[in-house]
Amino acid sequence: MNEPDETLKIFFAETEDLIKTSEESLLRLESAPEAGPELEELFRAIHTLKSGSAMVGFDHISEYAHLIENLLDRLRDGKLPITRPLISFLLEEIDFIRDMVDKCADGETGIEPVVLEARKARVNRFLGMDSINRDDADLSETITHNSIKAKKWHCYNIDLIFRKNLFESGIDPLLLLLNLKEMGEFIEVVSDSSELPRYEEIDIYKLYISWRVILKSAASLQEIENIFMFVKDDNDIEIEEITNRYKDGVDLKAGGMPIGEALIEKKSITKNDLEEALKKQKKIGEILVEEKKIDKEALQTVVTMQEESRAAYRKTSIRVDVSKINYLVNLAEETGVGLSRMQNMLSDQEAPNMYEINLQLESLIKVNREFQERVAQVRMFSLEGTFRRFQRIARDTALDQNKQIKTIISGTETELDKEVIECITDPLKHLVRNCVGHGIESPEERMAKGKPEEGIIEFRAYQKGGQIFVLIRDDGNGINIEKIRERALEMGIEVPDEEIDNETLMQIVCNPGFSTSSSVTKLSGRGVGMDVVKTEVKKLGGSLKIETAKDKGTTFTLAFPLTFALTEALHFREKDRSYLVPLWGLVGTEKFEQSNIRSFGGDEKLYRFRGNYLPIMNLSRVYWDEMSDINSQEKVMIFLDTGRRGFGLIVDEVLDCRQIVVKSLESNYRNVKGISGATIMGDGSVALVLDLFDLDKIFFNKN
Amino acid sequence: MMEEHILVVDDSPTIRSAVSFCLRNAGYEVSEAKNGKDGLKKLESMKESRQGLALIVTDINMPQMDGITFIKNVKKSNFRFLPILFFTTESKKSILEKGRAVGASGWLVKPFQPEQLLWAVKKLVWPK
Repeated sequence: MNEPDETLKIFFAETEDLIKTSEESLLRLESAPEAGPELEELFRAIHTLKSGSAMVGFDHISEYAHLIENLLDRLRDGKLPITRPLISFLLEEIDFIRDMVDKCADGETGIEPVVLEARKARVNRFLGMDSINRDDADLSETITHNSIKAKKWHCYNIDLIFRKNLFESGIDPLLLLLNLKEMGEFIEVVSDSSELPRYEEIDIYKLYISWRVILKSAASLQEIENIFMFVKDDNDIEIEEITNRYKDGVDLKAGGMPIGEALIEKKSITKNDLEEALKKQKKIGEILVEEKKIDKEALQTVVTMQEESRAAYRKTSIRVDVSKINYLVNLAEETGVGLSRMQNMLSDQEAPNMYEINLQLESLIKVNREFQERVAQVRMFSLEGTFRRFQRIARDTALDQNKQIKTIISGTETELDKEVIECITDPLKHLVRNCVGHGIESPEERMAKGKPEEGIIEFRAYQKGGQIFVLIRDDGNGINIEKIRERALEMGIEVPDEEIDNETLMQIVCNPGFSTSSSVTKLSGRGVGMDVVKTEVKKLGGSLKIETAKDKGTTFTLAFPLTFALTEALHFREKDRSYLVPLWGLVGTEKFEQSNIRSFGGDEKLYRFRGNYLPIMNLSRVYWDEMSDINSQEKVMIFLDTGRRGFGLIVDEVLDCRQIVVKSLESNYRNVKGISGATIMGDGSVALVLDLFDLDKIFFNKN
Repeated sequence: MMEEHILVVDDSPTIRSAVSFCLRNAGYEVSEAKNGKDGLKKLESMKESRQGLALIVTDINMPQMDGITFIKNVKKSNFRFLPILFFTTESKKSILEKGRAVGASGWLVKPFQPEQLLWAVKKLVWPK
């Protein structure tokens, strides 16, 4: 990948950050609407975005950001009050910019000009017409690069009298003269050294000499002036065109003139002829196709490839904290040192010291384990950005429904796998909308209930045990159980007659398409429901829990295993096969004791574990017809908890605990019930990784 | 002879990357700094060798230490005769005046084309 591509990649990553920063500043600005650091931060973000996008050639984004910047400038100057509608408006504008950037990232060229113009007009309405005039336009246009166009020759008289302290500003007059020389030919150069003091009085940091140059050049007066653009304002520089005086003897036939223009000059063809001829030039790809050098399909493949690689920019790159990388480099070095020590030990003596070698090996294993953990960490991202986005959604929803809310965010430093964050963000957005839309009551209603007018929406993330929890809580009216029951019956979902507890509730609302909302509002009740949330969470190996209490509010808790690339798992044997079960689901293990078993009816058996009776299951029930002999004294119990219920598993032997990389069974073989994947053990054998949720289903929902 | 060395100071990674790329392409050696403070640190580290430093290119609007303060500081240092080119998006006269007053050698109005950058650099750096 070459460097311009690299620049684009950097641009997309930076822009994403800038957009996030802008949103955050806007939200904070809303709670304290005055010009201050927040506004400055926002201004800087937009400003940087503007110049960045112009730099990589996304002019439409840059122009747009410029308009927003103008608007912010007026806020800064206090010419426009910071109001809630204005902040809403700005948030929308930020969204629009994000859209444009996303389009560019996906390789699309731009946005419909009509749409863009309409949006611009909207911003201009806020700005007021007077601000549109740009007194600075002339300045940005003065810099035109000096492409040597074949024109007529001109002669200039250039007087250069610099201020004495010119060197202090880092300018070298000789360099300017050299630049000037590149523009054409010096006919005459005169230096005036009359200002030069006596030798002993000379200050070598001062400039005493001035020049007069007579230049013959094809460049325009403007181009000549441009050479002095950094010095012309505070030095005495006069440029005068004297072409008429020097006209005689000047050759008008320019050597470097493009043939087309030379022909025009000689009046052999007209300008139109030339333009027509130029139009006939084709794109390289088309020419090659025409000459049968490549076929159309090959061309199309390359074009598609180009487009795809553009689209892939953002998806393939992640930004990683330098400190994380440094740590990895350290570990890599440590491994290197360890290995070379080991090599020494092995080669040094005739009889290597096995004890030492073992010690060394152990420390290498430790380093390697840490290495694996740290590498997995590279994929981890803080939830900060996600929560801020949720905050934004909550705010928008509340505003849309005339509700008042306060958002509380905590645990934003908690890190989750990038993939997890990407997968859960969209379904969770829906959850957030639900919390505000269905959960929080209107201010009047809340007053009547004796609650503060402002509803509370809380986003919290924390790590506990081997899991990461993401919690979304509202202090609204809670889920209306009766309404759920009614609706469930209507939809033909089975509902128990007794009181619905949180768990049953969860099962009901996670039915595909379940929605109680009678009216579909703008933001919630679109039928994309809890089932989507649950599916996504489950796909990632996580679990979802709902707790609700009337008028106290509802809490959604999502739990995810810590890492995905590496899973900590318990390795055990049952019959002649080895299995792994993820450690986060493990509660404990113990030797099987016949006396702890209680049976009641048929196959159902309970096992006493830490004072509780848990149902016990046997893998044979899933994978073999014949039940293994549980009367054997050599058996081991493994106790598992899926978050929904705990159960025990009888197995032959517990082997060890290890970190594994789970490979999908589905993509390599086919989907097998109860198995989430497989892994290759150290000795080359394959062990199956159990899917606790699937097992739960197989064991307990068999009907 | 050592390659001409240019220090690029800008808080936006996009601009830094684009400017550096363009300069490297033109055969200059480039160092980068994130803001004025960082820039001064880089200069401090080059104090002894100077490493053929021929030009400083800096943004104005930056966090921590803005470009104007940065230029002021450079002008107080060993590097005071080094030409400084600054970028600005606000092409208001006042900014240009300010830059000139503290001793900058030239400016460019963002966004600029690579040719414009090289053109300006060429005016301030001796050809090899």
